[in-house]
Amino acid sequence: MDDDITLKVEHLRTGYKGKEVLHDISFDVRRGEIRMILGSSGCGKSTLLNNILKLIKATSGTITYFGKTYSAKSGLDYVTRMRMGVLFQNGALLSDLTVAENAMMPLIRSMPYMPRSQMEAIVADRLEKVHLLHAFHKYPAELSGGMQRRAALARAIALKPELLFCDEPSTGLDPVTARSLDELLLELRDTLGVSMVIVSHELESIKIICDRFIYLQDGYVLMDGTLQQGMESELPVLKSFFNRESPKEIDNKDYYHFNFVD
Amino acid sequence: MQSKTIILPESLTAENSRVLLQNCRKALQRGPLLLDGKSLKYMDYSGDAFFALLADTSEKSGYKLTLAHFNDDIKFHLQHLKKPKIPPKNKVNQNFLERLGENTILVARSVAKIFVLLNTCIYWSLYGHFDKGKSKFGGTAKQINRLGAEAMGICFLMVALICFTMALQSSFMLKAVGGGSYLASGLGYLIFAEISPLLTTIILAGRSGSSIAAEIANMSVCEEVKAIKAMAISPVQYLVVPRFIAMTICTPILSFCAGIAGCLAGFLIAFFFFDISFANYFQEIRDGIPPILFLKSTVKAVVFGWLITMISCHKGLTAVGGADAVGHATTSSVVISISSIIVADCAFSFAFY
Repeated sequence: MDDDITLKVEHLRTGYKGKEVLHDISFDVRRGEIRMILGSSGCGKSTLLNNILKLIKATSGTITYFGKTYSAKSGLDYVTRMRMGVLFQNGALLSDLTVAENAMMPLIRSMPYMPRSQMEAIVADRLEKVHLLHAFHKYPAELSGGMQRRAALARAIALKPELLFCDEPSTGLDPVTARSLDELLLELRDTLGVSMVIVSHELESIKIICDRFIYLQDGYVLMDGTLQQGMESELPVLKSFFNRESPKEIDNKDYYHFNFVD
Repeated sequence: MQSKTIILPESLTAENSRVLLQNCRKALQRGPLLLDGKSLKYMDYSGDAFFALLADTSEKSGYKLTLAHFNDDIKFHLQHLKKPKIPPKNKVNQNFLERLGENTILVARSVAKIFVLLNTCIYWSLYGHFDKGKSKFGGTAKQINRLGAEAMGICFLMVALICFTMALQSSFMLKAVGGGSYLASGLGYLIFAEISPLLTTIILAGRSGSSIAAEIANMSVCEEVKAIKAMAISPVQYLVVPRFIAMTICTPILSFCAGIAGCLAGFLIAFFFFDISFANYFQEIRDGIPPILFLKSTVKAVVFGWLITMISCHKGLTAVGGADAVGHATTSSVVISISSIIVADCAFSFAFY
């Protein structure tokens, strides 16, 4: 496998209760690249992310992480998981731990005998990176939505991962906070050289951070390409997605036919 | 057949459309209908549904619906009125046996999962605490405080009150047959054999079990459990094991102490009704209870505590959905815990006594 590829998904299929929801998904992620998974709500983006993270098991297909291939049914080993970070939608911070303790979790897991002072120093560095050092001792409930995402990002990058997954990082945030989070992701990519897989349908974010994307529709990959290719695409779905238009469907059968007389 | 004509009012609104719709539909079911809209100038949101329902009725009955003298704006609007496509409800028709079979399989699966969870807990409680290569997560002391120490007051109070009532009721009968001296030994035996382990754990199921289920279910719903998994941390090790250890330690201690509180409550009756001194009362209790009973009582309390923890944690970890899932997990964990404690108590009664 090409050394430049950090993640490769091949012919992935998954389903719930006998119904297939993702059909033959294939794509790859290059080192230092921001790869986005796009699509309208309910098209299977988050399901695909959960499959890649092995939080739910796929039906068939293979996923290769850093050159090591896993089948659909197999779990992810600890070493591979430690090379990846995840930023969940809404942060998913543990509410009974402080921001610093949350960010410390991956360190406790991977280096149980590291002195706490050393862990705190690492966590302080990560919180500094996400501009949240002042919230070191705060609990998640004391933070705003944007700050919670940044705290979760600090946790995701605690072990300097090579591959970072983000599930709708800027959804539900105000435009300024969303923009600063996007810039933060770009900064992390540039400083840490981390590859990213980002699930989103926020057009503004996509235009700022996307290198390449796959567009999902009804569980199929409709397009795999660069942002430029996507914006120039003549496919009606992509055209309406990038131009924020609702798809036009004209079907005379859908209308009532009344009998009018004057 | 000649068409019936109904003249529409100047405005068609939610207030007047209901009765008008009923009349029009009745007319359409009997024959063709002509709606005269020469005075109609305004329609609110209910107007679309009014004409859509009439069109459907006309289609079903086969009688023609004609719209006459409508102004251009309303005509244009109605010409672009879309047929809503309401998807059919996925109704699975199952007979009684099929439903029974499906539910039996679900229960069997849940029981199997609870046993796997118990097995994993025992593994992590023993292995995880002695293996130096494994990361340790604290929280057991906090759980002992939350699940055990904070439940002390309510457990002692409830057991004491029930034992007091029980002693009072039995005192009348014992007095009648002159058996007042048996009150202490009988009450003591009953308290340690049955009342304290059963009642304490039922209270714990309602108080601590529901708290465990609600907390973990909320974490499942908010993706916190997923985040834990994504950090390569076992949710069982991080969430279930501290609660398992805390309940294993707290339940027998609480049960024993609640038993003492029950005996003290019983002493009040013995003192006031039978004039038995404190020393004599406890001497009779000591004589009346074989030491092995304390061991049996402890085993019962530990097993009941495990049932509460496992059921509550399982319900919490398998919660899917939103706020209703948290409520459902909490309710069902309390109901199932209490039921299984009573079933297990029956089994213990056969095995031990």
